[in-house]
Amino acid sequence: MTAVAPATATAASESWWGRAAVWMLPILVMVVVWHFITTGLDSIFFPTPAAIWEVLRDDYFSGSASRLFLGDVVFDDLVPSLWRFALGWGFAVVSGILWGLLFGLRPGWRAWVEPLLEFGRAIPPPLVLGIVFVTFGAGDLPKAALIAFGAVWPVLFNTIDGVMSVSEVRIASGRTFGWGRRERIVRIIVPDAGSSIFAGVRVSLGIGLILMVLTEFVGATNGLGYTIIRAQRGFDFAAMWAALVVLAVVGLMLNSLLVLIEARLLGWRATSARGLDV
Amino acid sequence: MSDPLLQVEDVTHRYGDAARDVVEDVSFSVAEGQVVTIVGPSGCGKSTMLRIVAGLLKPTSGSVEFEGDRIERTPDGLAMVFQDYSRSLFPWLRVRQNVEAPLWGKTSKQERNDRATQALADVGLAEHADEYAWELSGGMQQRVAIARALASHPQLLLMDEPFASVDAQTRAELEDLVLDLHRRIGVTVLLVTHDIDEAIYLADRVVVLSHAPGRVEETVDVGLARPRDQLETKASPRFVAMRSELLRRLVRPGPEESGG
Repeated sequence: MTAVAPATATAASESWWGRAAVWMLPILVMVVVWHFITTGLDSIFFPTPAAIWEVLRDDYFSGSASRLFLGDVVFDDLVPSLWRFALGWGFAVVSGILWGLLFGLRPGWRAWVEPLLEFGRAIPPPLVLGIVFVTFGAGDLPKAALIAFGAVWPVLFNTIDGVMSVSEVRIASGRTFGWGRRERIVRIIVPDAGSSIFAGVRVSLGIGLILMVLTEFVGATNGLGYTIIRAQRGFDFAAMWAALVVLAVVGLMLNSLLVLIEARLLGWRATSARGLDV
Repeated sequence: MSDPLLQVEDVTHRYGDAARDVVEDVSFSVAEGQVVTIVGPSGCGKSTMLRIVAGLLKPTSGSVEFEGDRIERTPDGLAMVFQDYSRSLFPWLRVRQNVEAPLWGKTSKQERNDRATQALADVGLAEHADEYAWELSGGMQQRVAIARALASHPQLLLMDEPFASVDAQTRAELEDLVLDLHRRIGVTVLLVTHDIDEAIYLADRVVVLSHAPGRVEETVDVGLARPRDQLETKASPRFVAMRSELLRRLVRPGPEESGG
């Protein structure tokens, strides 16, 4: 009787500072490299980090203490963007999981909707953007709907796959405990499909962010995407890059948040930080 | 003699629109406190038989009665250990939670905790309660599965080829664990195996199934003294004689196959 060595120690034993350094160093290196390239290049399309920082400071961090030192662009553009994103992506995740559970549990129903799902998935949301805006206007809801439409597929299909790959023996075990259908779904199928569902959720996050920006390129009066396109057309490339940096930071933060949630929910796997000894 | 704990009568099963039956007219009974093993060649329907007893499958015809009641779904007082422990345990739960799972919503938290502690001690895993099942070796994982079954304090423990996926030495250890649990807790056991040695070694009575479709070829009272010992019991003349007798009946066509 021997136990396999527990694999949870390595990641946790590293200090907070060590992990922060691992995180920050590549970004710092990128900024330095960016600095030297842009200084040498001296192009208006590629401003130096210092020029980008100036815009960030003036537009994004110029507010008073009562506004948390956040500038107008944050409230006028970033917040509306994030609101639409939250609306659309949240709907995509919730409905993707629910429909995924349904179709995963009822392969018969799935067969009927499969062609429709494949059809829907094949439609690139940017291409229907114009029609949607002409028909429903370019307000928050149509934008959120487009985000949801693009982001729902990975959640939906990963949930279906996750549910369908739950082991039959595990469900039989639940039956022998006297668990009813609802208990088997909540206690076995959802946690068992969890890692697959989460993989889909992470993919959908990226898609959602892209669509958040994209839907603001057309018929918008605010938003991060609107800021980017307006700066680009006004040849204010420092402002454009500043908005891109903000977008990247937002993406990074949202993804980190997801990783944290995943570590809490799916910590039992504990394989992500270890890597494989191939 | 009083009514048996489990009474299987004329059970026949056929999957969907398959061409022939998996098991045919199977009848046997298990008295309280007994260890009964079902042995038979691969594909003779012995696992199907056990799933029917567990209430996981409805037989095409015939009846299974547990404590005099016809089984429709898994009754309280019946627990099952599956062959494939890694697919039967919940990898997202720690060992203790796995063992407590069958009791969720049925007992108080304190009671769950006590029972899990006891069951884990019974199978020798008290020190591994806070690990994840997948961190343990195969034999230990199957112990977790046995502890999980014991936590519900079953009157009848069903085991479906429980030791077919572990190495020979672990297998012997787990066999002795079952005998030990039977002696200490007095749990009634119905165990399915393809291994004749295992079937005789564990049982008070062996139900021998024929090649597919599975029929009861014969029922053998083992009558070997308890406690049993891997070396002594298996070397005793009675064991050896019984073994060759059963082998003759079962393994005519070819070498013994593994798996189920």
